[in-house]
Amino acid sequence: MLKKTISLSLTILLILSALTGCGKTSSGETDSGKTGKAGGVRNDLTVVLPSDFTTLDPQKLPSISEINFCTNIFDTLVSLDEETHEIKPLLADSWTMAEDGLSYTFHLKKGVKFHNGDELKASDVVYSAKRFMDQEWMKPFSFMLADAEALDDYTVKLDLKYPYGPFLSEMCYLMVADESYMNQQGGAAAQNPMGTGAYKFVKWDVGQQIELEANPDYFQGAPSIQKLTFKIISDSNTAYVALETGEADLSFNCSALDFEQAKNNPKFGTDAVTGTSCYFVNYNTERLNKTVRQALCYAVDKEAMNTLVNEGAGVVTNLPLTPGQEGYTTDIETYGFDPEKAKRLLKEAGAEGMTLDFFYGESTMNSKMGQALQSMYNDVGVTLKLKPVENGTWWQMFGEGDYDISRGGYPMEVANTDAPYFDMYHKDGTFNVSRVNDPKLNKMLEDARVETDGDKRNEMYVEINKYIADQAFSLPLYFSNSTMVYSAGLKEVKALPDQRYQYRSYSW
Amino acid sequence: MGGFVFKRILMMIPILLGVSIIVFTILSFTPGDPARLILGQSASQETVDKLHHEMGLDDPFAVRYARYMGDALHGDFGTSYRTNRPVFDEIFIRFPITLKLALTSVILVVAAGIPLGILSAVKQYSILDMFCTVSAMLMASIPGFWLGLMMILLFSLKLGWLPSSGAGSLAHYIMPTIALCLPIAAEVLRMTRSTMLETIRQDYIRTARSKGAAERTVIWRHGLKNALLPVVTVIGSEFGGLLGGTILIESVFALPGLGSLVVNSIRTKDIPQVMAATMFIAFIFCMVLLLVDVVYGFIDPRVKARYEKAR
Repeated sequence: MLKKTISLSLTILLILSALTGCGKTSSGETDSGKTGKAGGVRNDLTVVLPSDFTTLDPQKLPSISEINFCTNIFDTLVSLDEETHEIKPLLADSWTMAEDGLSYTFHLKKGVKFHNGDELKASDVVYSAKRFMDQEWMKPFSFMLADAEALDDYTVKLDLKYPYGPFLSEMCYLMVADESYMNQQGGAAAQNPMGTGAYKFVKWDVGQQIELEANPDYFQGAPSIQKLTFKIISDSNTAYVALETGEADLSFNCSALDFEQAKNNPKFGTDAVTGTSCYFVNYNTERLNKTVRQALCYAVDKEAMNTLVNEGAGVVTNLPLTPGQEGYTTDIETYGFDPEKAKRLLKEAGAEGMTLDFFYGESTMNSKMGQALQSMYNDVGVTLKLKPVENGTWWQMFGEGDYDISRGGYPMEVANTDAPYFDMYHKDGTFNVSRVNDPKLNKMLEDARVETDGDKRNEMYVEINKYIADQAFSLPLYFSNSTMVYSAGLKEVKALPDQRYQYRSYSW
Repeated sequence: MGGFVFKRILMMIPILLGVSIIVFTILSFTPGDPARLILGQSASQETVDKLHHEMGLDDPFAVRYARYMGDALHGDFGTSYRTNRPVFDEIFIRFPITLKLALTSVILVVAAGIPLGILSAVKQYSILDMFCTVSAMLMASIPGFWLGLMMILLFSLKLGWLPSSGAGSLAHYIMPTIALCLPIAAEVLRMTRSTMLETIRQDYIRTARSKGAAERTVIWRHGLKNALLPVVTVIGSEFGGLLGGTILIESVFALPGLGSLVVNSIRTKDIPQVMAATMFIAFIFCMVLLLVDVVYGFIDPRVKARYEKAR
């Protein structure tokens, strides 16, 4: 009897151990990493990425998500303090601005090594700066640069076309690559990024995941998280399940509903802050006059729009700036929801019952926005025809200006008001969806960007904001919410407005 | 047989040409400038115009098409506008995943659909038949992506047995395969059942029975072989369809297959990538149909004889 019991329990034990063994292997690497560490302390992290990258060439990055990702592999000359919005040294220990504001001299840190062991020299910075100037994708950050030269191995001089006030904030986008490595790799460098950053690139399974490992020799100290995996999951439901099952630890792209759910789930930590992406309704100023534009502004209920489009997760705003940013002011025309006033203004302009089109790139968010606008405008007697195209097509076509109304989303910069404003409201701006060509505004913007005194610049942008609001070139609707959901236990995590996350500060 | 296959492969040329013309025309006449896509929104109009000219985009449509096909015939399908890599790089990264999904699904379809279909036909109006017919109807009407999400909730979240997303190990393929194959298995089951029912009422089946053949032989050798032709057609075209990618299931399970590649490329107007991917899918589809026709020959000697004659 005893023998039987023992053999039976042994058999059960055997089966159980076999089963748990299977469980571990089948659920992949993240699981084994979790249980494999002595004392239960993990040193790996899996982050959800909503879509795959197209290139990781540090000077050809097509969007903010690639740029933010690459700041973990590459370093810039200077960096931005997320709290104080001040410029801090990074690869450059110190810098000086020439009297006339037309050049900056940077003194590099000595002994900084690239991942392949090469030492960082001024020639690498010059090489990177020149590419940064030449590549079209980087123009929004490099437009003011004229030339770069190495004064000695550790001193670089960058020349500007004109004095540019927020120059240093744009240098947070100049990632320094190794000249000899880039030349030797050629086009392959876009798939094998190599810099001086806290993380080394390991591999990129297209469409699946990107793996990084800690750089133990990082000049600011080795990161705590050793293995970083970015898993590409485009469906937000699937991403949330992956968080729940522990297949992923961190997501910056949870839907509003999932974020609310995560708040009440003890498995997760959450954080949220007003993001930098601001969304606008853009009126084609070549076709719609000031009174009509103002009328259309009064017709929009921003709160309702936020609820309809973002499930209430956005932060409604009257300005594309947050308090503390250069040029922020509350002293402007705010266009509260007032359909009666809208109707009156339309009547004044003799534009009652007009038909307009709304040109946008097809996406769930944009379609919802179009439908909301349609019904709000309908209430003041304006018919809105929706004109959707593929997203890629929209980007290629908005420059032709064949629309009455379109929409824009702009990733505003924390420490630079000029770049986005110039881009959106100057006649030469590259994201001038409202097709603004106002001589007075052009002049104001041109004057403000060359002003090197911060306080004066602030005043100038306040004036610009007042003018823009009065003219109603576009209607700022809301900021995105920058949220994060992470496995409870992950430390030092904090939501950032610009989502430029540095994983080297995280730990378990 | 060899001659038949050769002839069919030759016939694929006009088909692929037709596909290329249709896709190229549609892509060419949709609005938007590829040069802008390559250079980004911040590029100046002059730079864009220059590249536009360099790429020969201002040439007439026929010239552009001829040039594209000329390059393609020399094996140069171009580079993706988005990633600047040869278009087939990405196709060959993604195709194995799609192929694995399609193969496992079809194997499951055959393994489940055909035997159950035969059983329901042979035991018509039995409880088993009722069960099979009803569940087939149910399976055919459940949307695959919904089933996928429900399975994720149950097997990944509640029970923790299977990984919810990705394509790392075999376990990653279990749920997507089931979500993909159930509706097809249901169709195959119903098809097998109805053709089988028709077949077992034929005279030659009665003859086989009366000459004393065992019931098993009657069903499997005489019945099934004759009932199988339409079923093979269905399986073949479904398999071809699966190889073209399954965007919904790929998206639910975060699998980087061909479907999401095509959709993403269309959205970003990445013309060379869309062209290459659709031509590749068309080619694979033709190959599968050819395979189906060859299988016909093995199942039905009459068809084989016709192939020989056609030579």
